Amino acid sequence: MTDASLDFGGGAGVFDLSLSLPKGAILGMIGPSGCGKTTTIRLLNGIYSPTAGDVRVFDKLPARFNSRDKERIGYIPQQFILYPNLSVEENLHFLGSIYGMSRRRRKARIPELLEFVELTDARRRLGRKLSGGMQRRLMLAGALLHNPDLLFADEPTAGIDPILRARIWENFRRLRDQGKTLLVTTQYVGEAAYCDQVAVMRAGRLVTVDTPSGLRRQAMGGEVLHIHLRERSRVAEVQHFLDGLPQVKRTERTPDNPDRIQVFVDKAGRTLPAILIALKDQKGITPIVAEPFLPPFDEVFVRLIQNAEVVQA
Amino acid sequence: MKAFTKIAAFFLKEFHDVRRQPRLLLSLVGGPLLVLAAFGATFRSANPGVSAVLVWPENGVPGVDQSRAEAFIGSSFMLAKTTSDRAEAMAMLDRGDVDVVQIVPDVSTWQAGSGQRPEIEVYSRTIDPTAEAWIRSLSYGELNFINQSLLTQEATAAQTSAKDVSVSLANARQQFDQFRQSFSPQDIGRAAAVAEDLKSVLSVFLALLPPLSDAQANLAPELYQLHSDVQVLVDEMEELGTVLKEEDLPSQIERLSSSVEEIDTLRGTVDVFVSVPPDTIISPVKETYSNLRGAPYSMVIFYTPAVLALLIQALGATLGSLGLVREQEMGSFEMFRVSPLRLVQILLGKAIAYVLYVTVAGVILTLLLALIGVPMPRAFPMQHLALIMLLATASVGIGLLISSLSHTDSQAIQMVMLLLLLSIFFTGFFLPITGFAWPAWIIAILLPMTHANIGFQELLLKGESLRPDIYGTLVFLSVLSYGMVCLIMWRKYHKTSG
Repeated sequence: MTDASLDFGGGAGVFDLSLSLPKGAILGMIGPSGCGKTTTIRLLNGIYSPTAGDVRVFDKLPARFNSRDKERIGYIPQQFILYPNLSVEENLHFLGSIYGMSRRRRKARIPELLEFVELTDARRRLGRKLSGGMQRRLMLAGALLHNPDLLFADEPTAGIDPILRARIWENFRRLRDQGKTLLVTTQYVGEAAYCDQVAVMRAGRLVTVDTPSGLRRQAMGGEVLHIHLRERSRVAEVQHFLDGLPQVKRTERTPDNPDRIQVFVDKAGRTLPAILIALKDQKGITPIVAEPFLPPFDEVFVRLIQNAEVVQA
Repeated sequence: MKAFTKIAAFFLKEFHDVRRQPRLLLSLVGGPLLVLAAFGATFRSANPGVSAVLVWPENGVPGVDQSRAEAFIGSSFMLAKTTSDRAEAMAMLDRGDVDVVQIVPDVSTWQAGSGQRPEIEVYSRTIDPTAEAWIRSLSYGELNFINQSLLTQEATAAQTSAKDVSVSLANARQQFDQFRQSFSPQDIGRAAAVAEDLKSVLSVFLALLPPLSDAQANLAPELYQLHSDVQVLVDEMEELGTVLKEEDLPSQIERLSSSVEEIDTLRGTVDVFVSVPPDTIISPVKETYSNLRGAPYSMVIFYTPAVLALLIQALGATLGSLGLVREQEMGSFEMFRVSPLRLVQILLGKAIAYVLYVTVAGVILTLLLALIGVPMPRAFPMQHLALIMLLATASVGIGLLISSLSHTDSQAIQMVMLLLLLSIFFTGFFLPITGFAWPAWIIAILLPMTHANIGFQELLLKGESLRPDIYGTLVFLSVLSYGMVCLIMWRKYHKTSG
C-alpha cells in the first residue's frame, strides 16, 4: 500500500497508509476498535477501492483480481458468517465448493484441516451448536481449505479465552512456517508478540510498523533495565548517579514500586554489566535485582499512541 | 466444471438449510392446508348472516299466505320474529337484537287501477356494505314476490269479471243483431241504452285490469290485447251512441254492423284471456337454466385452485425473500466477494434449490387436495407439473426481488405479507378483477398467482389443456423479476465505496 486512503466522510476511513506485507511472515495489525483495521483488510482483498493512493496485492489492483488471484487468498471476516443449520463438515464443503474445489479434493482436505483446528470430533455438529472458539476455528479451517498463499484474518481471536487465542496463534505460526503470508488484525495488543511485523493504527492512520522488539524500543525510547535497591534511602542518589552515566539515556521511578529505578538504554544486554560495575565501584552499591525488562505490549501500545498524539498535536 | 461446483454449492447449502427447518416447511405448507381443510369442513353458506323482523299487516296481504312469506324471507335472512307491531320491531333494531326490519304495508284495500303504490319499508343499521347489498337485493326479491302475488290475485279477479263481461258482450251482440235486421226509428233509444250499458260494464272492467304500459306489450300479450280491445269497444260504443243520436238510418245500421264486429273481436280476446293461467298473464317470461358442464363444484373446491396458487406463490416468495437478505445480514456477501464466485452463480444456485423445493411442495399439495375431493389433473399431468414449476420460478424470482430490496429479514417478511394481501385482493381470488379500475389490472398481471389460478382452474376443475398465454406470461414474469434481481444485486455486489 502506498499512501492509500479511503475517505468515508466525517473523519471516518483510512488515510495515507503505506506498508508492505513481507512474504512468508505474519503482519499483525493492532489498534483500538474503529481505527481502520477492517477497512485496511477490505482495501487489500478488493472489497473496497481506495479513493487515493495505490493498493497492490500480487502486483495487481485488488479490484481487478481474477478467479485465480482470488483462489490464492483466504479470508476470515470479523463475524461468524457460516451457516448455523449446516454441520461443520457441510460448512466446509460449501466453502470449498465456492472456490471450485472438486468433491474429491474437498474430501481429502477437510479431515486434514479438521485435525489442524482440532474439530474432528465436532465435524457433524451444527454451526449453531458450536462455541465461539469452535466457530472461529471453523472459520480458520474454511479460509485455509483451498490452500491460499495469503491469509487475511480480521480479529480472529476476538471474544475468545486466552488459551484458545494462544492455540489459534500457534496455528498461524505453523502456517507461516509452511510459507504462507498472513495479515492478522487484533485488539489484543499482547498478541503483537506472536507477529513478525506489527502495524499500529490509530484513527485511520498508521502510527508505525516494526518488529515487536522494535516497537518496544520505539515506545520506550530504547531498552529498559530494572534496578531494585535494598536501601530505599539511597534511591534518589542512585537515580541521579545513573542519569549522569553516558550509556544511560534517562531514568524513571516506577510509581507503584518506589524502590525500583527504570533505566533506559540503547542495548540492555550490553549496558547492564557496565552499570553494575559503576554502581559498585563508585557508590559501593550492589542492587538486589538488576535485569533487562520487557515492558508489556499494553504499555508499549499506550506509549506509542501517546507519542503519536504528541506528534499530531 | 468449476462453475457447476459453485452453483451446486448453493443448491446443496439451501437444500440442507431448509431440510433442517422442518417447521418452516410445515408452517408454510401444512398450515394453509389445514386452514383449507377447516374451511371445507365448516363452510355452510357465503350469505352474510342477517337477522330480520317481519312486520306483517293484521289484515294480511291478499293472495299471500303469511307462512309462505315467512318461508321466503327465512330462506335468505335469519327470521327472528314476525309481528304486526311496527314499534316493537323498530325497538328490536335499535337494541341491536336484529339487523333488519321489513314492514309490509296493509294492501287489503288496494286495487290495481287505483294509482296508489304501497311501500315495503326496510330498515337496517348495518355498516357492512356487503350485508347492505345483500339486504337490498333480497328486499327487491321480496318486493317482486309480493307484487307478483298481488297481481296474480288481481288477474284472477279480472278473469272472473271477464267471464261476466263475456255474458254482457253476448247479450249486446244479440240485441244489436236484431236491430240490424229490422231497424226502425223506434229502436234507436233501445240501441243507445244497450250501447251505454255495455260501455259502462266495459269501463268498470277496464279499471279492474292490472295496469300495463306499451313497453310491456310483449311481456303480457294477452293482457295487452285485452286492454286494447276493451278500450276500442268502449270508444266504439261512444261512437255508436253519437251516430244513433245524430245521423241517418243507413249510417246507424252500418255503425251497428261495425259494433257487432268489434264485439266479436273482444269476445274472442276475452275467451283467450280467461283461458290463460293468471301466473302467465302476470309473468309471461320464465327462466330455464342449464349448466352445460353438469353441476357446479362446491365453494371449497371452486376456491382450491386459487388456494393452491396462493400457497405455491407464498412459499416461493417467502423462501426467495429470505434468500439474499439473510446472507446480507450475516455478512456472507463479503466472503463471497473475496472468493472467485460470480453473482449469477449465487443467484442460480439459490433459485434452483428454492424452485425445486417449491415444486415438490406444490406436487405434494396437489396430491393432498385429492383428500378433500379436488379432481386430479389426470388428463394433463405434465402440464400441471409445468405450471407448478413456472409459478414456483416466478414466485421465487419475486421473492428474490423483495430480498434484494430489503435491508433486514423482517422487512422482507413484511413485503411478502404485502404481496399476500395484493394477491388476495387483486388476482381474482375472491373479488373478480373486472370489478376494479385499470391500475389494479396492472397489479393483477404482475402477480404470478393471477395466471396460475386460471391455469389450475382449467387443469383441475375444467379438465382442459393449459392456454399457451399462461405459460408465456409466467415466463415473462420470471425473466422480468430475475432481470431486476441481477441488476440490483450487481450494483450491491460490486459496490467498492463502503
